[in-house]
Amino acid sequence: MNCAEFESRLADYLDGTLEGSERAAIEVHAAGCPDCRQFMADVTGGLHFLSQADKVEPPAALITRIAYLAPLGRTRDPFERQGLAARLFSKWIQPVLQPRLAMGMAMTILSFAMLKRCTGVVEPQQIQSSDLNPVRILGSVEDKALRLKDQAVKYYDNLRIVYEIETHLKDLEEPSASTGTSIAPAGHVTRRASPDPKTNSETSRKGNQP
Amino acid sequence: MQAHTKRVYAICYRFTNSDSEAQDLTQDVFLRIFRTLGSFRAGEGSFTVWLTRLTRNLLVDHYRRTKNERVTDAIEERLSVLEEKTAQHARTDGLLAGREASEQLQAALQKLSPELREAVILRDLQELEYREIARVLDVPEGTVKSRLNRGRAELARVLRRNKVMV
Repeated sequence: MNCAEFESRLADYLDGTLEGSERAAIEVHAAGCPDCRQFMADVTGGLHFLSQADKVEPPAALITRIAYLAPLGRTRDPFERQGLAARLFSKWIQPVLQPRLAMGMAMTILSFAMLKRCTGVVEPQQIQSSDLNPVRILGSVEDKALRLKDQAVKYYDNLRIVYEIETHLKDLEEPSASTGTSIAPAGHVTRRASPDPKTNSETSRKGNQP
Repeated sequence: MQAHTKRVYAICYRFTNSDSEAQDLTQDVFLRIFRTLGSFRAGEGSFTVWLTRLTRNLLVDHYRRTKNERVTDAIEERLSVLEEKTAQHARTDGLLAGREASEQLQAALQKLSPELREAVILRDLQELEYREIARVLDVPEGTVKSRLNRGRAELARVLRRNKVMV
């Protein structure tokens, strides 16, 4: 038996599947060849060590995931090759599209918008610590609200249709309320001989209409 | 199903020495199984061989793909830590047992070439027959035995260098 034959039979020898004569041939060769003897010692040592290894157990969650999702083709396919666009999308765009991030951004923008409106600060750089004082913010909000209300009332009063309706209503009310009233020519409505001194100073509203 | 999952995970874990990679690869194997189950022919061999071959092919693909990305420093670092550890606690009988042996084995397996590693894993850890391994690897049985001998001997030499074995 030469060294090549020795190596080719060694695995069967260690498995114990060789016949008696072949086993003897292996042993005789090993006894006479130091290299093959050392090789057999290494192989036997490695095999012995391997036989002591523990069994590897997968995580229970993996078994469950595969059992339920793999038949549906829904487990992720992590080693699938991705294109450049897909990789860029998954790395940069996808995280931005997360609902919680979008909500956070929306709330931030809303907060800055409210702050700007309430404090009257146009640029974020102009914001000072005193602008964030709650008393000042509250006062500013109240002031804004009152101004807004005044503007709304003025706008409403100055509407032509409102004015005309009010005028006609007054025209209808005045004859029934007082017999001493008359309709002035050219559309001018005046109160005459009114017992109330306040009404005497009242002039036609239409004349003041811009 | 559970037995097959265990088998596939064990092969992947022994080959990659990484739990996360082994889990990902195992999932990938089963995805492909369900996609290509129709291509399995019972007459051409056992399901285990077919499954193992699919796993092995995926491992080889993964190995090639991650070859450049793989951080070999991490393995070197781990081995050096193991060397120090085992030098301090080397036993007189020269062999460690149980979980510690498994960890030493994992580190040492990574030192083998992929051809030798897969032969050792399939035969000595998965206990497949030579003819089954030959079908999985698509090589003659003689080549399987030769790789197996060289793999076991190389493993013993690595363990001896790490003072795990004397």
